[in-house]
Amino acid sequence: MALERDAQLMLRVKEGDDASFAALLERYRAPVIHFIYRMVQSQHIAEELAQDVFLRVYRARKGYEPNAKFTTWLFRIATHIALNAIRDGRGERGTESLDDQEARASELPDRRRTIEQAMLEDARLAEVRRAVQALPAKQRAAVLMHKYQELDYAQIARALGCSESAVKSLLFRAYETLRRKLAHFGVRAAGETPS
Amino acid sequence: MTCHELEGLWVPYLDEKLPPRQRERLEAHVAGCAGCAARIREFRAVSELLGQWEAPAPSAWFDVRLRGRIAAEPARGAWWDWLPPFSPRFPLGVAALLFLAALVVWTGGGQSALPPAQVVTVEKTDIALYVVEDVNLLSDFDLLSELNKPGNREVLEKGRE
Repeated sequence: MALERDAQLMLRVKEGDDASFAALLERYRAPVIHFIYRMVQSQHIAEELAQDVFLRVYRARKGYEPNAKFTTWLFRIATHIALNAIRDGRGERGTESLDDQEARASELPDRRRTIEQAMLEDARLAEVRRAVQALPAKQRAAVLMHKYQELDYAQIARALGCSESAVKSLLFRAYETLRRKLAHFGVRAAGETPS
Repeated sequence: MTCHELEGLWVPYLDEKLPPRQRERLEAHVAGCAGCAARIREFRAVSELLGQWEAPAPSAWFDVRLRGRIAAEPARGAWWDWLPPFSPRFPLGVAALLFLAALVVWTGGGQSALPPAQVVTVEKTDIALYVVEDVNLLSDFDLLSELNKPGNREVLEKGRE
């Protein structure tokens, strides 16, 4: 069976090829930072933790074996680092205030947005962030890997160290919670409840 | 199929990863259940809302800092590499153990290290004086010799009573 490209790059890193490490960094820098950012909701802490992820990949290069997809291995490391940071209170302490996040959102250059549209959109996004932040850490990690990283259930299961059926259950509970919390944005249809 | 039985199927259904037979059964249920039809719309709306949340771009100095950290890595594995990554829980745990150990030693493991007050008696004091008198340096100490004279010892006993 042919090895996936990322695994081939990682095997070259194992042999001491720094250019292959640079190529992996170029490809996964943003996905890893974005994943951790949505976990801890602080860019400063997300970048610090993402550095730990790549440093750990680099340190583990000598013992690397392509037993799983590279992304599964990478996000397993990222998930562990993010969950540990949240458990130790590092993620929670560093969480940016919603005002800071809204201020940054409003700095985005978009001349088409009117002030009212921008305010409405920012309020909605702040609510989304708050709802995601309120999810239990493992549910949050599952949703973020599913929604933004588009990892399949088996990959998420390996990253979280649980079964595929446990992942489906985590995802259902997380999306159900989000559905209930974001109901006031018109997500929920009035008067219609499942039996 | 009830609404409750569908719970494990919603996410794979929305991901379009449900096997055809299960998908048909789910869709047949949804066609006759307004609540589940609404639920599908709501799940899709949540997914759309999440899609609007953009993460900020990585900062320009991310690579520079990472390369600096990699360059600072020792070429060979250090002796402490086998230890798990540093966690504030470890030193706190060690400090707590040391404190408990010190507490146990200080309290004598539940028994007082100090002798009870009634152990100190006149007789013991006298014995101590005899012992001190045996030391060559103090043997000529007049005051000790005076105390040991029979008459003086009786006066001392009365004074204590």
